[in-house]
Amino acid sequence: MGESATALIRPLALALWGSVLLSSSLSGRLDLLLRGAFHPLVGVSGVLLLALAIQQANRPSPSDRRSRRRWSLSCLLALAVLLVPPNPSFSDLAANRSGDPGGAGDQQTGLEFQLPPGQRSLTDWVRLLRSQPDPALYADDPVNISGFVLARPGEPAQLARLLVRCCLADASPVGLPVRWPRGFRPQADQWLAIRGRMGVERHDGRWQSVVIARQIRPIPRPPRPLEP
Amino acid sequence: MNAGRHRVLALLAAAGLLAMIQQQLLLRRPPRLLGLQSSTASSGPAALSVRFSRPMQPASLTARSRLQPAHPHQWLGESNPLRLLLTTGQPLTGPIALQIAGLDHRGQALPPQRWIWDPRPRLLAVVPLRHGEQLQLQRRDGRWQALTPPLPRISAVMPLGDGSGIALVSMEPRGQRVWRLSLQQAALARQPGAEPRATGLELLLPEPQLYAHLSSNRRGDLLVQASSTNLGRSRTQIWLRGGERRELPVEASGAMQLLPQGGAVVVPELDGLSLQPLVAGAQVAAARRQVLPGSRDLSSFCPVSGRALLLRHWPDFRRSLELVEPGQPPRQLWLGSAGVLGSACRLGGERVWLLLSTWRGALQLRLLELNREGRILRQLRLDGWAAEPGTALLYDPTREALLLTLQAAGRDQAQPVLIETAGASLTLRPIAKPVRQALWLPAG
Repeated sequence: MGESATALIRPLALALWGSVLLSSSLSGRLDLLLRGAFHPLVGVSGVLLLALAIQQANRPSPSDRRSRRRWSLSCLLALAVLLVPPNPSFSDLAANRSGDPGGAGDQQTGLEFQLPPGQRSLTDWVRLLRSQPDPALYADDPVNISGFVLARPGEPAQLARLLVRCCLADASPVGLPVRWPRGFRPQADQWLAIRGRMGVERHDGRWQSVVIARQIRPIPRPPRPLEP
Repeated sequence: MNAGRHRVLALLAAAGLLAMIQQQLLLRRPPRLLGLQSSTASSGPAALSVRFSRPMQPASLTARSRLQPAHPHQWLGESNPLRLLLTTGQPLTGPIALQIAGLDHRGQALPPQRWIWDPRPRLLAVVPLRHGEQLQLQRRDGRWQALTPPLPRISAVMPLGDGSGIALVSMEPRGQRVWRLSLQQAALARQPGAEPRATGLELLLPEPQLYAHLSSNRRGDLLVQASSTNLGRSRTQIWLRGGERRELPVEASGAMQLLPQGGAVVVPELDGLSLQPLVAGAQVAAARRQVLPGSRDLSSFCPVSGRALLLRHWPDFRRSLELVEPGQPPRQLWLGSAGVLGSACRLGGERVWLLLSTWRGALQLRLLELNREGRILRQLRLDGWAAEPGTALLYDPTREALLLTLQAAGRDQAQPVLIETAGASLTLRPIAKPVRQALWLPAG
């Protein structure tokens, strides 16, 4: 490595990571990883890292080989993050997490009357069913929801969403059982919009609500797939 | 240097050990019961929402929990909270001794919890006295208990939906007074035989009012629409369950009704009925406002799922009863020229009762039972009875009975009348107690 390149290695790494944060918050990439409320924080951090890179440009570079190697590795990682867009498998992630939307009882205020059943999102439905698990109350209500196919080993595929408080690291899946039309094979991670009715089925000796799908339409992953 | 490192290592080891001990203690700690909430807004006569400290195995609760007498029931939900639902078709005639036991997902057993559960609402009545009127409550043993001192005429009574109190309006020479009576009672108790206790009667509004209208929801919020004799303008205030009082900047052309599950209010307006959220800013409230146009009044709410019965007035002086369901146009159940004195419904409108009055030489009362399609399933002629002015038709899902205040021919005072709906026919069961108004008080 030439001397000039060696001198620039630290500010270069800082600038690359600053660019990663800034471009992620501007390009919408963060929508896959983090709740919208935290995006400005990431953008500001990116600007700070870029400013730090400029300030470090006139400072002496790390003298020992080990430090230079670390900074170089950091540069490569930042480049990789910049060039390879994230493509998380929500189904894989969800299959390894327990589904607890948290505060379900507190958040369903007014859902029943103010939000017609056909306008409830998948998350609204899950919160309602958890706070008032009484399937007969919702039998035959119209359902119009979207989500990704969550396939857990040994269980029928559900339609699910990921709820986050902060970011993908704390994501918890919430899903609704679906009675899929005969012959339809849902693919894990596939995003679907489903129209149908809420039905009641006996599962493991207990009654539960199940979406009876009448119309299924594949949809692209929404720009903001994580829900608060 | 070495001493410092040893100290850090010792601290880390101590912290690790502490974490391990805590983990092992928590692993062995049995699950706990965090909360029980009784509700009649369910698909059965009553339900109990049970919250645990850990997710539980519903199958173990089914196997280990007991109800005495053995009412048919089921446990609903995935793990936490769970709902104990009494199955329909069996009116409750007494309290239920309940034992809750089960296993969490690691197999730890919940120590059995014993409760006495009585979700049946109590009969509340405005009783005429020699000088004034009094609010009285029927105890479980059938005797009557005074809740208030004698007051001048009581013009309105509104039990709070959570059973924590009763709002009432008394008519005095200088105007109407709005009171709140606090009650101590619970649908769930450790010991049987506990009766409600009045803990205080307070004036809600200091000045006398020209009129006052009351409404409450299941949370126990209270809405008061009133017009002060001093100020002369109408004000709407809401007392939230926690005690907070708020002014509602809502203009209405009639009496507003709080939505039973809370969070919104039904407002009669000149061009129809609107549904407005309670806890949003003015802009959000305006954006979320839903309007149902037409000449309609809210007749009654159904117990569950946002269904209500509306009374529609037609230009040819006929009236129709409509079942309104979220997101769907109102469904007409009945149309006629008889006077509609009241309506009530079961679940989301699976059964609807309608009290009609017609004039055929004399005023005749008739009770219709309709299904969701508006077909008359049963009817009962209330010959020899007259409805007390302002009587409401109130349904109790736990007893599967309707409550009315009726006056028998030849009597000078009205009495509470139950109409049992569970059997093959609608059965009248008058209660021997002179009252001016009878209502249900939620069990809390």
